[in-house]
Amino acid sequence: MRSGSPVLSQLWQPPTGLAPRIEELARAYREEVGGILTPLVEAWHPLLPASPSEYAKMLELSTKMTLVGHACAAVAGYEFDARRRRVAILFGCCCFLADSFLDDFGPEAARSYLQRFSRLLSSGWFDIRTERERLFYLALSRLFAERDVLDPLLRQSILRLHAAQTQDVALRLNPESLATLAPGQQYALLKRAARDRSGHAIILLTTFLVPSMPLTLLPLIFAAGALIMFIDDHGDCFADRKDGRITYMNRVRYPERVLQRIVLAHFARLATGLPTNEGRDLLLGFLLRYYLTRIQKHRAQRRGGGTAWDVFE
Amino acid sequence: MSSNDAASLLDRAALALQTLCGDKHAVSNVLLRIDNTAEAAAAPYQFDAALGRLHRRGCRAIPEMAPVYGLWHLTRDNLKHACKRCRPLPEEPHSEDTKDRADLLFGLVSLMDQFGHVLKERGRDFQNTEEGRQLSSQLGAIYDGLGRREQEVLDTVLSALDAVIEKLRKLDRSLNGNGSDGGG
Repeated sequence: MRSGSPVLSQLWQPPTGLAPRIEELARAYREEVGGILTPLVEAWHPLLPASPSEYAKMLELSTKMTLVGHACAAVAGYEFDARRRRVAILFGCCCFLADSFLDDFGPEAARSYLQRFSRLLSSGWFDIRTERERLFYLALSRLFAERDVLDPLLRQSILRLHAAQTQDVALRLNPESLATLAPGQQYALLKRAARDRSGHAIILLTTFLVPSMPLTLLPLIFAAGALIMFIDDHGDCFADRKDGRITYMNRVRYPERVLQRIVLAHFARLATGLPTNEGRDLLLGFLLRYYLTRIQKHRAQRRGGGTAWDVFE
Repeated sequence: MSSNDAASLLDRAALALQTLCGDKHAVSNVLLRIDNTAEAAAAPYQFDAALGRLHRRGCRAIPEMAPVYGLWHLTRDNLKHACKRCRPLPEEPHSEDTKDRADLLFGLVSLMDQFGHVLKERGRDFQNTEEGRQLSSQLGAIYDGLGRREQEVLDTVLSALDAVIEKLRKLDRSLNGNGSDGGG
């Protein structure tokens, strides 16, 4: 595995054999994701696989979450056993479906989902209106059954993630609210929104996986999540623009240069702050691989266009 | 029963649970409250997840819109993240802990209500383990250390729980229809 950047190589040297190990894990997890999610989908939302590109994207996102979950659990010193893999896979499924409610069915559907999900969080009741929502609710129920969901940190990270998603939708549906701000404030707001959305998501994933997270790890895991979002938004830059979604990475003038700066700063922090263990190497290895492939995705979509459902590995 | 059958059964149970929403006979308007936003905001310590800085609640050095998590307890190790301005320190237990204990007790009652018949049997098994025997002597010492009024309250609560468990077991037997433990 090569970073393609001499500065990055100074910050962290991937151990020998890390790239094939990540490849091997991704392959194994992809298969396990199919084994867990396919019966669930076939039972409760059989129409979903009828859209092969969307279904493939769901499986790929769950695979990604499983890899990240493995890295985070190992960083915190826990074995990534079968139960934890199941948790990460269900988490990926929930994230994919929740994102689809926010992004793919229009403003009314997005508002309605946010409202009903708020009620679910405050009362436990969820008004299920479609097959897809039924699948989401059941994946969530299975996920909640795996963990004490009344853990204070876990509860807060669910709420923080929900708030970040709500803000993201508000920015997309009311872009005029952004226009009233000075350019510097706009960038700061968009950057913070990206950071928070994925930062809280990875805290939530890790809290689902480990019984307790040391305070020292929390900001580092949060930073890793934020970096994933910046890389992701760079890869989806053109698809997002086409869908009218404003992000920090599709607003800046030189996105690749900006992303490189962000990557270097985050790698410096993570490489020095994370405990030296298998989890650290897996997490950094995953982030590097994600960065390099999303740079390629960005370039490919600049040349040939694309959609948010493109699966890119 | 295969694990897939069991999962499918749980899925159906989860869906059936949602149909109780709005049911006049539903036990409560709240099935499960995950939202602890208010409690987290009122927590004595706030941890900024972006900067990795630990503050007292209300510290002016907390950046606007910071992604903060509320904390209720600190360890000495946490102090390396302490804000230099508000200098948070672990606090001695105070009166609000009484409220925590009451919350805990009510939580226990609700759990017993839900899982009492299982808990009682598991409790008997647990007492026979080494860990259980050790805990049993510690609990005995704690009980002896309680004041008379606290002992009375505890006895009342445990008696009430016992009655609840017995009622649930009777109900369980009658629902199973054959009068035997565990049913068919």
